[in-house]
Amino acid sequence: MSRWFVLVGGVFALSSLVLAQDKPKEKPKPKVVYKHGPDSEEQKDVPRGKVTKMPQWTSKVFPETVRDWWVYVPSQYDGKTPACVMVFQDGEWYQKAGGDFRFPTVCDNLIHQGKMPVTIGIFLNPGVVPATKEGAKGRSNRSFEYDTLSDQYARFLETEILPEVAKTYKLRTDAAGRAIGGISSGGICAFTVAWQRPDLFSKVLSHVGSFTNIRGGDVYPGIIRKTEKKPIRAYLQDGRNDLDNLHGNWPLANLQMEAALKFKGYDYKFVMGEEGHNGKHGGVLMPESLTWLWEPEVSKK
Amino acid sequence: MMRCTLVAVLFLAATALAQDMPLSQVLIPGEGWRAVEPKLTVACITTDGEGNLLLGTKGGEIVRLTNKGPHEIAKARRLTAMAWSRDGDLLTVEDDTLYRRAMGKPAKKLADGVAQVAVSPKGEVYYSSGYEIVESPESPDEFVHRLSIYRLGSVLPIAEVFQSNGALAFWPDGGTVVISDVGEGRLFTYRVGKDGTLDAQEGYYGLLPARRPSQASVGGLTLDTDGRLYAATELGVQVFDPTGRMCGVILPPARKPVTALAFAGPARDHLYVVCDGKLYVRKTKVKGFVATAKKPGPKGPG
Repeated sequence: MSRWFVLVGGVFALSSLVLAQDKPKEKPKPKVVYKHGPDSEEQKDVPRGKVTKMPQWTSKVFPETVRDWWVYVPSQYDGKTPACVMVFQDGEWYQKAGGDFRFPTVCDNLIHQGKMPVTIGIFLNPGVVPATKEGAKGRSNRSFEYDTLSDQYARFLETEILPEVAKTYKLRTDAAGRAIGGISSGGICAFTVAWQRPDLFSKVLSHVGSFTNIRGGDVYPGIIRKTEKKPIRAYLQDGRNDLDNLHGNWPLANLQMEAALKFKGYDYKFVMGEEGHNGKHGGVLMPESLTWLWEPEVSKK
Repeated sequence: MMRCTLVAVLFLAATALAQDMPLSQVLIPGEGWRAVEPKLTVACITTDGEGNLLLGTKGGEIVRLTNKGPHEIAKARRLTAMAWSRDGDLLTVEDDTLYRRAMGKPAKKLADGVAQVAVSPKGEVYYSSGYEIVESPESPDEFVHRLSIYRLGSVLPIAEVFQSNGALAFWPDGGTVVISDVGEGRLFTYRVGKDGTLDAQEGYYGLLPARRPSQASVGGLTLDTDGRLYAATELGVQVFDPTGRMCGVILPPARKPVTALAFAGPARDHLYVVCDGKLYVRKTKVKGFVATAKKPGPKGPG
């Protein structure tokens, strides 16, 4: 009896040891912390542009919606030479000083260094249909505007926002002189604008882009592969810990986008980090991504 | 000012990266559809102020379903839609005519040529008209079916939609109404003004396409108290979050279109649907929004 006990016990101990050797104890991975570099910080010797909050905009393309928006004008803008244009969805986030993206500060630094052309930034919040009835909430139009695969948002920019800004500032009207960017649904919106209207916008910046089935956006990789290549230059960023939910898996969706762009020979750059569904990594990458995105315009000079 | 800006930024970030409302927040694991009163052939359903389900049969009976079973409360004509009013009366669409039915009184005719009816949280009665054939707004040489939305008491239609059976439902706050327009494959939202008029039309909810175009209609719409929208369709019950994003599709109880739906029960957490003329129910994790729930009617239809 005792012999059996020793034998069984010995086998069990041995197998445990073997299993333990097969599965070495994993060390917890150090959390990657993304920190803004000097190009995302205000520099003493760099002239600063000006961000102006515009009067609330009431749209006709998105009936009865109102939205807050801002315009950034770099100090190098001379009022004579048409400036490049960059539009951002969820604009308040992108223009916020000390926030994730800090576009005005990054732009000040990069233009000063000659890494970006003189570029006017347009920061648009999503529309809201304000309630007129007592006790009712406004209807957020964000998902409708950003996730819908149509030319409606591009028309909104073409017929409303760009002409409004052009009343005050000289803007480039060629697609090479225009870029559009956004985060999450704002990222797929940026791609949709360029996809629908490559004659208006040729440069796309997408942070944790929602190329998932929120409103059918997961079809893009397939469509890209089967459509004649369009003149689009895209910088896509995502993180391995991005969302995995009912709409889809964000990292996989962005990898599918990358594969489709690569397959079709697009001019693109894709960066996969470690963050989740937020602007931490994309924000830190802003100097690098803007430098890459605008390089063709800089090298023309 | 700083505080307002901070709140605005936080709100924007929260909205922008809002987490989602999957069906797991609605459906109870292991809980499926259960047939209710299988002998009845049901045309339409609604919920009274106390959470009882009212159903109109294809034979014209109006039946109240309580925990003691079905109880016939009135005889009607061919029923196609019903809604419970804030006054505790039943609004019925019979032979394309809108009636008000109050306890002990004969049915009162309200309007002709009606397809669907809904009551706003404020108690106003809205209805969609039957089809009219009119010139297309885009191409004068073509004719289209037009369907209009009216408010009871108003003379002119307050909104026009096309190719629809005009199912309608109000958001819980009463500021938005949803109207089906399956010709577009979308459900339209309108803002409800202070005076009850509708504007700011947008194709807010994108429906999944029907397998058979001939069955591409929305039988009914309802909402829960969290703002999800439930649409009765050929594929089943299509559920959307308050930002218009699809949460998922609750499969139908049978391989037939879902033609009507309503939340009922004391806690209004039971989702009833009509599928192939039969009534089914399943308990959910959510609470249905019933516009008239705050003031249960002292009267009943009769």
